[in-house]
Amino acid sequence: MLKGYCGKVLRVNLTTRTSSVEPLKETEVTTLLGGRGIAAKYYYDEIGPGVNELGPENKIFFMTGPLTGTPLVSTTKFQLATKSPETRMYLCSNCGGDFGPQLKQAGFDGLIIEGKAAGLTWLSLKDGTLEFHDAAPWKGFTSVKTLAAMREAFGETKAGAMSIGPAGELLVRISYINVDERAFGRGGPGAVMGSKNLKGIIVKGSGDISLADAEKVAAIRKAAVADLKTSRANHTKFGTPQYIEPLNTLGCLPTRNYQTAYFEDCDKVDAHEMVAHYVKKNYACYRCTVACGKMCEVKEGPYKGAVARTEFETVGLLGPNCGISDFAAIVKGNQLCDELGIDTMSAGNAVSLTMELYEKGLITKQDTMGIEARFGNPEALIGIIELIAARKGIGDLLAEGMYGVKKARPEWKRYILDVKGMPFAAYDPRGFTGNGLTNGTSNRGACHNVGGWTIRAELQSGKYDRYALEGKAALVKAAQDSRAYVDSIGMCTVVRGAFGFSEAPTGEVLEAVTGYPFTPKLMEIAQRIYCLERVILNREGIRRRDDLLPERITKETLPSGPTKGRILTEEMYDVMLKDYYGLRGWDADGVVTEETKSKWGLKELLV
Amino acid sequence: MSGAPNGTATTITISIRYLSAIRENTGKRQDALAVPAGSTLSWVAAWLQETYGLAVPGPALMSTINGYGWNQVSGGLSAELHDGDEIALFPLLSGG
Repeated sequence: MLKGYCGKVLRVNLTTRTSSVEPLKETEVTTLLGGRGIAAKYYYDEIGPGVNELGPENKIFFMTGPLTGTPLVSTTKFQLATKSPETRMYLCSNCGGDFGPQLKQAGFDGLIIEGKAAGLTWLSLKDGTLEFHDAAPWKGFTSVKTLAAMREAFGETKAGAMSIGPAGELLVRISYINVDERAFGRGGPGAVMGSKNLKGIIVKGSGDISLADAEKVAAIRKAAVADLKTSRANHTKFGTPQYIEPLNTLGCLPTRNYQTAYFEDCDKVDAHEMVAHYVKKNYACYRCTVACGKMCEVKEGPYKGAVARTEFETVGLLGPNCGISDFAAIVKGNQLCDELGIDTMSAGNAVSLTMELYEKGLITKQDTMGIEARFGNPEALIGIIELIAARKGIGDLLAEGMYGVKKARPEWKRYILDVKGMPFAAYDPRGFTGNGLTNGTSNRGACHNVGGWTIRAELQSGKYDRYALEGKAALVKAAQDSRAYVDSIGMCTVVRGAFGFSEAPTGEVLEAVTGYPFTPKLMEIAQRIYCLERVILNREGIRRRDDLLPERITKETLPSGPTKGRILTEEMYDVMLKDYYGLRGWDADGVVTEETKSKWGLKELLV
Repeated sequence: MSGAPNGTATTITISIRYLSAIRENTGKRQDALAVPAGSTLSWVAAWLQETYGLAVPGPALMSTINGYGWNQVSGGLSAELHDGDEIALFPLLSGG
């Protein structure tokens, strides 16, 4: 096996309370790299299209990359693949924290969870020793309290750990997995753990990760740290919430359930407000020198004592998109989501939908259990989050995710912002057409990361008009591909630039770690991964109709702000989508052709 | 300033907004400037360099005029300014 890898995957069966160790195949490593790529291959091999996402036959594939846990910078990332309770299809997800590095130091590149435990269970892994534990006394514990309980019971404070909250136990389909206070946030993987009666996993490793050229790794690290000190200084001070004010100024910040893209009270929720009044300390993932996480604390008022790590997406979707201009309420809502165990992004979309339905008279206080669910009401934000996590009132329907809401109430479709059941992130594509294609063609439903984040290029590269269609298909495809390999190496995207991980990869870090010439092949591997994921989606029935954008984007012009009058019509979108399918080698219905499968070697790989 | 025509009697007014982390460099939220009519974006670039030491356009920040990137507008740095133009500077966006 190449250096940088352990060469082993641990498979745990919760039904039989057994485990086994299997080899990681070197051919798969050289063709799919690690992380997202190899997790997708496991998913293809083991999760057929008929698998019930909340049934014992679903599995969770946790997979690290070659850089995970190595002595570089922010080598914290690992991936999961599972069938999503939220979208009812393939899900990939990316997470930081200590778990991935600890798993590798325990001797494993990956961890597969299958079956269903008889009762609520937690797992511990110390180097090669796996143990099953009774978690029944922790039933109903918040995700944060569960992490603390596991650490205490395990006796290792510096272990990597993941847990679910009560929402995951109740199979709320937007439940997340809390990983060392970071998150496998999107797609509802917390409900998969809940369906398996798995409350948490903790891991501690003491081994070293072998390196092909340790001296070179050290030199690359030194140069990257110096680069990041200046290139990411703004992240260190303001974190990702620094994007709130610019995106509002660009007329791209979703406001009141995407009814407009400009929030008049932006000053009350931007990064300066956060830093001036709420940031308690910075938070850094494993070996990260940037520390972009902002631990916020409310010091006074009705939400005094609320504490949460507050990121851009959370601020955008719990704040302006719900009409909320009270940053303290956003922190409180963030904390509730974290503790109860639901994704802040899907929660923000669910709350904003509820508020619009309420204001339009389509639901009443009977549905909201007495909550005055109007935009801008902080108590409504808090209350609806609690309803979702507890599956009470309208929260029981919202807990089914947008896929479930549309199925039950198709007449609400025009108010729902999702693609393939995944709610939008905090960008309005009517302000950047490429972002529309990003949402439509992302392999996990509307996602700004997997789908390829293009806004900077659309604005600054000089090659594009942000409102035009020309060139956007190639732009989005390249962004998707580069993200696919970054998600497979085990390093955070925030620091990728310091290591040459762009759409034209440079540098020697992968060679220094693994001894294998990966860098010139990264974009080829990335396209193979993206194609493999689409093959999976095709197998699950995904076609062109599923790549289309919601009605609000294609039928309603923005009514106010800098992008007033802008729209991304179906006809405009179709121009980009046709270009995109052509570049990908998919047919007119969005199906991967046999020729394309051959081009990326999938016919040999998927036997 | 470079980019300003000689002998111009009239002026126009433009605004420059400093968003998010860029405010750390300027100590203020915005400037309203009276600019000789006929001036171009290069005048603004020189003014920002001289006043705040900001290299615009540059790799460390993003710059727009009326919602478009500086290099999206016709003429680039040679684009002529108009009364009421709104310029915004902000840190590199990279996805949340």
